[in-house]
Amino acid sequence: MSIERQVNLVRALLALSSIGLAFIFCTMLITLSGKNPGEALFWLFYGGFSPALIPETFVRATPLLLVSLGLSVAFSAKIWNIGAEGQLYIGGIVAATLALYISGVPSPIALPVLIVVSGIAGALWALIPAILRAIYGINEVITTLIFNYIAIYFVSYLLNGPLRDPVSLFPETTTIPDNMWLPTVVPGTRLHFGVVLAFLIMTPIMWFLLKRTALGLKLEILGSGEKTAKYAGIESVRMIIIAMLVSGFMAGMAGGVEVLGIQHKMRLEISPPTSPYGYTGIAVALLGYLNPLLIAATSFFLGGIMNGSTTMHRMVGVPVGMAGIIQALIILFILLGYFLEEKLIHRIIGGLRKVEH
Amino acid sequence: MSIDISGLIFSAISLMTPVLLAGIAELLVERSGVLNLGVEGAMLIGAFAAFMGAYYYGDLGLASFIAALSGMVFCALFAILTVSLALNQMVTGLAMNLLAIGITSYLYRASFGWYVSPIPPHIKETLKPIDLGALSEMPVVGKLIFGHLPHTYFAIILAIFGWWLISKTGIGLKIRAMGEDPQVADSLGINVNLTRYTLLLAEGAIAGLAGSLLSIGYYNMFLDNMTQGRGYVAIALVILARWNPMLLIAASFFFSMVDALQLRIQALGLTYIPPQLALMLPYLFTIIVLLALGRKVRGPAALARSYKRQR
Amino acid sequence: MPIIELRKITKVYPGGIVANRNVDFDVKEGEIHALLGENGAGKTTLMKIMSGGLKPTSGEIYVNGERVNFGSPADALKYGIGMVHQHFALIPSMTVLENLRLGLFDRKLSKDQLIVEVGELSKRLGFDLRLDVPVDALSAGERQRIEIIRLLLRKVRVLIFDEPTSLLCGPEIDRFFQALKQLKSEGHGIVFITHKIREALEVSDRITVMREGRVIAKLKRSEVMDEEQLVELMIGERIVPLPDRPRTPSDKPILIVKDLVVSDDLGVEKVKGVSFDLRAGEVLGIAGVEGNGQRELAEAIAGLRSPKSGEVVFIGENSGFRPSYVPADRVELGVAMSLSVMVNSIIRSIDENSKGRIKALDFAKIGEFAQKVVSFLGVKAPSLGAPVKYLSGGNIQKLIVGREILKSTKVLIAEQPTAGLDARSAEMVRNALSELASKGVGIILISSDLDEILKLSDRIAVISGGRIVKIFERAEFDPKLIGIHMLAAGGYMA
Repeated sequence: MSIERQVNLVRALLALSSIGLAFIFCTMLITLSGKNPGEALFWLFYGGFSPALIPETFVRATPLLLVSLGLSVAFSAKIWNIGAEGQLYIGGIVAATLALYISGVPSPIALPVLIVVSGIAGALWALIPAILRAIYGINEVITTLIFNYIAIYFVSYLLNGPLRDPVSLFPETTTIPDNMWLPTVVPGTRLHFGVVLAFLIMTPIMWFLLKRTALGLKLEILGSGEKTAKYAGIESVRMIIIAMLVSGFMAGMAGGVEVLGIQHKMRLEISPPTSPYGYTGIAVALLGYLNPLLIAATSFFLGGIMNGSTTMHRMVGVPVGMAGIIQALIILFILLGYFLEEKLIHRIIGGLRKVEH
Repeated sequence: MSIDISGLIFSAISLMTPVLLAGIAELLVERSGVLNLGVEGAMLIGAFAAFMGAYYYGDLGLASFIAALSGMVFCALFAILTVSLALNQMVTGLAMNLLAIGITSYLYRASFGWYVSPIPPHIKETLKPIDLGALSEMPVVGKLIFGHLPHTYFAIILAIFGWWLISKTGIGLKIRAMGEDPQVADSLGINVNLTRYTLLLAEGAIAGLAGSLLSIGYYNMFLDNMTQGRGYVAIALVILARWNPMLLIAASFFFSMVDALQLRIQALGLTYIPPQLALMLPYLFTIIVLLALGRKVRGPAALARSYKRQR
Repeated sequence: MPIIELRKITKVYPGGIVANRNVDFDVKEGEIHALLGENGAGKTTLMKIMSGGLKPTSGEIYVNGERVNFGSPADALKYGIGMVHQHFALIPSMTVLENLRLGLFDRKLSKDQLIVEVGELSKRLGFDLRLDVPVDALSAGERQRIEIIRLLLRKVRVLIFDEPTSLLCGPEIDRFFQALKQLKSEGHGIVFITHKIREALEVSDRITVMREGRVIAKLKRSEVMDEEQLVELMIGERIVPLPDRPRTPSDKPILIVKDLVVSDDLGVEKVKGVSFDLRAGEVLGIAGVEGNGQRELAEAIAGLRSPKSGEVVFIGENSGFRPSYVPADRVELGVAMSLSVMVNSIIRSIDENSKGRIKALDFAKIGEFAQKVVSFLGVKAPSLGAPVKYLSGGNIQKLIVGREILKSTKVLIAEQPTAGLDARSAEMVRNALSELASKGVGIILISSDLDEILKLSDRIAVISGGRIVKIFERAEFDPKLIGIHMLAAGGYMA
């Protein structure tokens, strides 16, 4: 078996055991709080992956996938953009506002414009942390996190103030007219065009970008070390900004697509409070080893867990927060997996070297 | 309309306590080369644990102790993952924070019922300021610097201690050395892992205590994710302070001035500044100052880099 | 009785590589013991075991006849065994005094006591240490002296030096040997790891030769007949000497460097107005003591560092032209450790290996080139897709050198191209460079190995204190004279 095969096999096993361990921990937690874990897990999987509910899982996975595709670009360059949540809110509010403003424009023109503009809005929101990192060298984790708070308060202000639907009881915008809704692709479900965009268009595009183009390779080299990148003639300032902008764009687009496809208005709850898309996307990107194809699969999986935990909550009363705990544990176990992977692979290589001698 | 300046300064000093506590602990940890984003989670865990302690035992001292202890356990886990296993510090810290949010909200509901009632459970008494009697009668400054919670004085003393430790002692020299190059420090017989563990455990306890201020000091209840990024702000303030404890006191104070101002604006019900925008101010302030000072910042060379000992 | 004795030491690394097999070794009071061998012979591993940096898989260590176990270098220091590594264990941003304080371990000394004691030690050894300057600003020689003082502050009895002369040159080496002799006369035992036979012969009382993890010979200095004998012991077979190639560099310059001024990362001017030209088909050797601006000069010419003033002009190339460059720092700079051998073989020509407006990578082309690079110098890699981090240091070096040579640009800057390679590979690299020059490529060769420079160069430019102090034509080559010029113009860097 070739070395790459062995490495991949090790990775797959580790990823699966990460998920398994996360579930074991959660089962323990559920048991400790006096619920029947078997019943709880049944509803968790029923709510996420029973055939009738699969379309809903795709709908849930869509913003998650768009966010994590973007993050995979930034993370490849070891740029830790944690600001997807804020970028998603900005994309969402821009999409909703603009949709209300241009409602007279025919949908075939308006919808692509809205999607792209929401992406651009997200990208611009990522620009200041990008500059702070690229030029001043200030840790982007801190700045993007702080920008999340700024974004959410800002959107909250807009939804309570100037952009609030005057007749609604809640802080939200007016519902956008239905010619601004993303069309449904499978009648009788909520599968909208955004799902197709995320799974069938953006996933292959991002895979190609990361794995098959000079840009993707340069990002990976930058991630491997800034000095090496400089030696390779890669302008790291430019690459850092590109990485941040692309991930901001994808997160903004996720917000836009969610508004245009599902919510049809901007609300503060656009991202589920217990497992926000922007943060869950980090787990998805890592669990998918920053490979867009795997990320599509992991988004679907975690989307199912998110939906399932709602069902579990309704049927057994386990709080929805459980989905958040599962994600956090998955990230931690994946990290542990990276640690073990190094060890195991060293062993494989060691074996090869011995043969050499 | 007028804003009472001395009242504002008083609340700034009071409000600065949690960020200064978390900040000085994080500063020392960062000087040793570890970036602990988990300080946010440790604060949240502390807030939750303190509330639970106070609610069930009715003893605020015990509650504070439980808060410190649970913050410490939380950071111990972070230490195992990042120091012993050398996992990526940033991602681990983030994941730990997500875990803290999930666990606290889960346990809160497990304890008080699965559906949060409109009137959340609360405690009857909150932390009391130190009564210094006559001292607080001093003109002008008396009212400003006395009559705070003991934590406030502890925070300031801790910051000054931190400054002394880092710049004047042999231990400080060693901490700085491992923040610059842990491998070299190790080869010189400095126990890098032990030092980092110690600092992280101390940080956990201090951050837990800082978090407890939120749930049993300023408020009398626990709310989901009630730290609201204060741990992250503390980290940003450490950058602003250029890893200097004395500057950190100043940075925390100015941040809290903005925070106090923001609260005052809300309290006064000034309609021309909406509350959400006011809430945004301290965060915005941090970013603006970072932008203004950005260029001059140089942190410990090995910050956030995993260090694995070669044997 | 020896101060320290190693018996039947075997070291197997976790990857399964056997670095030492049943090795016996000892150090006596007042002797200089040379540990001679090629790169990868297991010398450093053995000495790390002796100084507590590594644990042996099996075998025993005796200090003064007493069986000991070292858990760490600190343990070994308690028994008076200390090592100066190739990479100095200093914190560059801290001052000399702070670095000395850091190394005191459990020894309690006030600042004043420390300064007094350092003063005494320096006087005895003929050192002149400035205590309040950051280590950043010091030359390799000065850094080495800090390390020696630091070990002596810890009252060590055995000092181990790993390739101590590799970063030094000419008179600095002499100075170092003076200090060694002083230490020896004070009764210290000294181990001197080297692959340079001449140096081993010059100072040592005993010579132990290692090859492939085994001790091949233990000789007293008086038992050594000639260098040839040691070469045979070290290598096992004769090296093919460099063919006497009739090289005819053209008169046409392909690179002109004019009044170049370059600063390092901290803004200190390291290159202070350098001018020279490079002709097609010639090897221009740059000789100098490490830290005299060679690296900054190389980086400026390679386009990695923008000069403060002056010009670098490649004749007949457009302004975006980047020459091939073998950097001295192979791990940090030369390769992306987590990426594959394949990708690393085109790391500096990504755009040339992609097609179309979207710049899709041309994997057929990349694979073909990678295969060429790997077979050129015989890089041992599990597969083309394996990450470079799983290659040994020597193989990474071969990958970099091969890649830069095969890239076939008109100018190549080779900085320490044979560092870390065993004698046979080093010779292969030298032959490849020579051949490249005869094809008309201009090569700038920067090396701390003066023999290498003398052998390969058509001209030698001596750099000292950031200036080119003299350029020698091949007919004028004289190692002694070149050495003197290295220290001209204010000596080594202050």
